[in-house]
Amino acid sequence: MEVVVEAQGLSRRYGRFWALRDVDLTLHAGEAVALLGANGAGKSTLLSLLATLARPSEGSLTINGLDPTKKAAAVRGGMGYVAHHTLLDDALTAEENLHYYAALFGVSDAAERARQRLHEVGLGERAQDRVESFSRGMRQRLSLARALLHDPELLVLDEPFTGLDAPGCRDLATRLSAEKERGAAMLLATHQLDYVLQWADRVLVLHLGRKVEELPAQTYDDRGWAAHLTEVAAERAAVATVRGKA
Amino acid sequence: MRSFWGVVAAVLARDVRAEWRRKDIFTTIVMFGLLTVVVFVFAFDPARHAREDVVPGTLWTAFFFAGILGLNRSAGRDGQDDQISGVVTSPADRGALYVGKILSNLVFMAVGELVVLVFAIFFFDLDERHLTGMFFLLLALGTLGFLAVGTVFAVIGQKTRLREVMLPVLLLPVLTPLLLGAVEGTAIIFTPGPDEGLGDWVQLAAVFDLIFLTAGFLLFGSVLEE
Repeated sequence: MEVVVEAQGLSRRYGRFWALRDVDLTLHAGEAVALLGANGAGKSTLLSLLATLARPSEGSLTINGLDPTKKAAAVRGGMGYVAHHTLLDDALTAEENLHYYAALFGVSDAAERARQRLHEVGLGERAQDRVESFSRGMRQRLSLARALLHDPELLVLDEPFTGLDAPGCRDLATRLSAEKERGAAMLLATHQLDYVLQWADRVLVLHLGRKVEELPAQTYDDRGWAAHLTEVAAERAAVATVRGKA
Repeated sequence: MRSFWGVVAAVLARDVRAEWRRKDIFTTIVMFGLLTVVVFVFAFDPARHAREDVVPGTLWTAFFFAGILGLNRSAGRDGQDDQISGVVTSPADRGALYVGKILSNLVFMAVGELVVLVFAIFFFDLDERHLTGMFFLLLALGTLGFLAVGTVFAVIGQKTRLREVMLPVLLLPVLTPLLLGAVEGTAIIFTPGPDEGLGDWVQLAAVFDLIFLTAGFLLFGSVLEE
């Protein structure tokens, strides 16, 4: 399978704080990797590096064989990004938002593609409504439609299940699974493992900016994740106690 | 294929459409511009001061300060729901994004300036014969130069904690030559008699525009992504 993402020793520093340290990652076409970790583990930092929103402080990163710091436009043209925020304009309708992004991504059949994507995420009947009238879940679905508008080869998803109800989560999981079948590579940070483990290929666990585990999704034990979170909480409590005494 | 002018048109259409529905940038520019004119009318009684001494400074102060508030609004809107990241993660030509933002800000400022100008004519009892083609050329060059710098600095300002304060602090020192040219040129236009020396001030504004439009076009991408 074609390698889409190749990261070696990937690190990112903010001032003196290392948010991500020495992470290796290989992602092939049609492969989905779930990114796990407690708050502050470095998930969003890793995703922002892949999304070309930040540059690595150390290490190397190639996307489709290209260096994102040198061939940013080519890398971005093949990438779809879902962030914490929806990246949508409230004053525009759902359709107008997609037309705007279609122009930025150079999608030729913008009207037809927007209609199709809105239909796929269940917003076909709300295409002419302004985003300000949408619920959080509807905005999240529209955000996904925006990210999928140009059939990206790489999907970078930061908590894509945020704000979705149970049927919405199931629909999204089905949609993402279909994208994987289409051949898209995917890295997604999520706490909603129930919706991901069935079709994801691997699970990558970060802790305090470092990769601590990478294993096949089928062998991933959720109880291990719970134990890991407990361990992190205990570690934080210990640090807080030490600071309190100091 | 991403076309340069397709991106420009998309940015312009999106900004104008959103402003048509919200009207917050236009309202900000007009309200602040009008208040500035009224304050200057009270501070410098038109009956006791020559208009050519008061009106040029009043107009350009109103335009630039109202424009700063408008730019802050415009950039703030781009920051809502982190839309700026949506733009940064797109492959769109950064120069096209810059041109699109300048054009949309130009539309908002031009409409606001015309409204403020109408009120200034009324409050200062201005002779409409002074509003010549050269006056509107100077107005266009002054506004374009203001936006050439302001559109870039508004993005920088949005990335700092001080935001609203940062834009005027960064912008006004850089705009000094343009402000000088615009005020002096307008004073010549409003002074009865031949427009001697006006060409020099118009040239100054044109050169300022050329330099800063080029710099903004080349640097906007870096500013957006840093």
